[in-house]
Amino acid sequence: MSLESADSLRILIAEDSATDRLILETIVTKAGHTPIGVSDGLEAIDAYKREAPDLVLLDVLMPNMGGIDVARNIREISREDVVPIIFLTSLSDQESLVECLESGGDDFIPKPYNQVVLHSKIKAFGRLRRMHSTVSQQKAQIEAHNRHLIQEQTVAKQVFDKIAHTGCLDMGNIRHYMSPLAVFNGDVLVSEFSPNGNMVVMLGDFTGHGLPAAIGSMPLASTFYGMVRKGFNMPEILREINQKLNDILPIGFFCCAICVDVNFKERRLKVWNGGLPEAFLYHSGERSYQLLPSKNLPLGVLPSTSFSGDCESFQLEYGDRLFMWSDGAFEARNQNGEMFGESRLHNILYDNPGQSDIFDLILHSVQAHVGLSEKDDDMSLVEIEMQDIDVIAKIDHISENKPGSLSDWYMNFDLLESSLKKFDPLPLLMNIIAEVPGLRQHRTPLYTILAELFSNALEHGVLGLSSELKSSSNGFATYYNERGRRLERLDAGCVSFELSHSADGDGGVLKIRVRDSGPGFEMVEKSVGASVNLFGRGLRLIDELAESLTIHPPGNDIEVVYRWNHED
Amino acid sequence: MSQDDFDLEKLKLLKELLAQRFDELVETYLADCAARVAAIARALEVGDLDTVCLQAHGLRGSSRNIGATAVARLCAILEEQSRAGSLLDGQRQLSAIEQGIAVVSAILRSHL
Repeated sequence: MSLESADSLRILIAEDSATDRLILETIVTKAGHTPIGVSDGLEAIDAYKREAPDLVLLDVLMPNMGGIDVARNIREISREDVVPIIFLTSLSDQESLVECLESGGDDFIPKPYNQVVLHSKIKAFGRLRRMHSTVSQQKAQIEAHNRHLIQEQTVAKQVFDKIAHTGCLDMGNIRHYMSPLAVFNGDVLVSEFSPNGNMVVMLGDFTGHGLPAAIGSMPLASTFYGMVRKGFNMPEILREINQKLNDILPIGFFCCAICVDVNFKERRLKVWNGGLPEAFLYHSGERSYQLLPSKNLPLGVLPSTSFSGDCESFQLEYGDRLFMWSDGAFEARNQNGEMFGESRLHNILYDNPGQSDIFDLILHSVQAHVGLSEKDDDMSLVEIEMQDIDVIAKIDHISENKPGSLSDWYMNFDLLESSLKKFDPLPLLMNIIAEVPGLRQHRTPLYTILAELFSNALEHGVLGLSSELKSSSNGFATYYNERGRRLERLDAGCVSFELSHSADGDGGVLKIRVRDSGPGFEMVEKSVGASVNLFGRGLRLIDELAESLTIHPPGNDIEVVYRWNHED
Repeated sequence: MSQDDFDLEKLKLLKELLAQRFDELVETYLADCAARVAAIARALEVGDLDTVCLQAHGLRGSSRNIGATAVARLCAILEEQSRAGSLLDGQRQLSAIEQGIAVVSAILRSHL
């Protein structure tokens, strides 16, 4: 039954002779099909619209409208849908056969009807009809899939834009160009301020194209933003992203990336390049470029155990600029398939040192090279300028007034020697502090206070380093080498954080007390006040930021009171 | 009427095909014949050759399908002449067709 009904056709029979119609209807019914009989041309068109038959049998000569006009009408009504039309012809219709075909007919059945011929023709056209239905169904399916795909890509792009564009790319010192569908070329650009006011920027280029390339940028961006905002340093962020990508991406998929950390106050730049083309650092003083080639494997290649997030550090001047790009910039092809080329890109930089419009020069050259060729460029280009920016004023002041958040609380947190060697407690502490509504806006001064207190306790207290080490010309290097050595050898020591917060009026009071296991020391710097030696700067800075700073004897116990109000 | 004038073989096939509906076919055919003959008669009176041609065509088709070969032949002549605009004594031709139908009618009813 199911087979029969699947093969069963609805057949429109337009024939003005009642006997002929009766004979045809009977033949059709006996063959297992459903006849729809009408007696003139106008009825035929009505029935066609109403019944949507699978096959049409048309008499040539009919009252009201002849078969040829009916065929033309039907073809007009259903341009896409191919419903076979068979003309019923007698000998005298021979001369109109050509006209029948031109009007849209597919075949003829001569009168008088031969049952066998009629059967086989209906069968043949039934097959044709089913084939057309299948094709048009598949076509509709493909169209639907395509629409779906484009919709999915649009949604993916919206999701990604939401994740990626919450950063600080709109800062005046960054210029960037990403091709419109960069996310589907696997390029990603993210930037955010850390709580200490540093700007962290990452340009990444995932292997491959399309959705597989775009997918990796989601965890990259969310990890990046989450960790930068919480105050993790660049090696930690890189390590985490590397591990995430290593875990989730299939073998052979990875992300070439360059990550920079810009400290505007100290004009210091830290760079990590893993697999992207060498970045160009322009020193405005010498009017020369310093090339920063990749010294690492791309993110997602190495397991955590062998990954290194170590960065290079550069002392800059205001006006110095960093240029970085993905290889899409010089792989852009013109209509003849010729690449823009790395040397052409470098020449633009070397020919125009210090010119403020280099970014536009590069962009226009590449775009002019690509011209009107079909392929969109997939170039990503970024320029960062070292400027004297009052970062704290620029950091987003999003206050999160969550119900049930922290208000009055106290905590004690002790770090023992093994933790001191490896663990950075600042992100953890900043996380807790950020849970207090309104206090999040004070994360920059609080980060500074905590960072200074911690390094003071660890370096001077636990490790017993003398800050005088720093005063010679290459003192910092000596100091940090010594710091590393002593930390390595440390077998007993402790730094305790005691934090308490109480709500007060429109804001609150945060008390921070940091104690270390060291013997304590003379705090001459505080009394000296304005003396300009570097080692004293830390505590003086705290003194400026906080309401009060108390050093409890014997000097290994420092208490800071930070009073804050909601900023509007 | 000779053997050529009525196709008994065809009638047998039709009877087989239509089974219970054979009666209906016969009645339909005869009613159709009556209607078309009347239409041709009216058209001949006013000299509407297009209608004569169309009705003769229809009558020819259904007659041939039912096996009424002689009637179909007569209709074909009327159809051709009216199409060509050279109709010779249409009334007499129509009479011949009517007589043919009367004979066919008798044959068909004998098969019911």
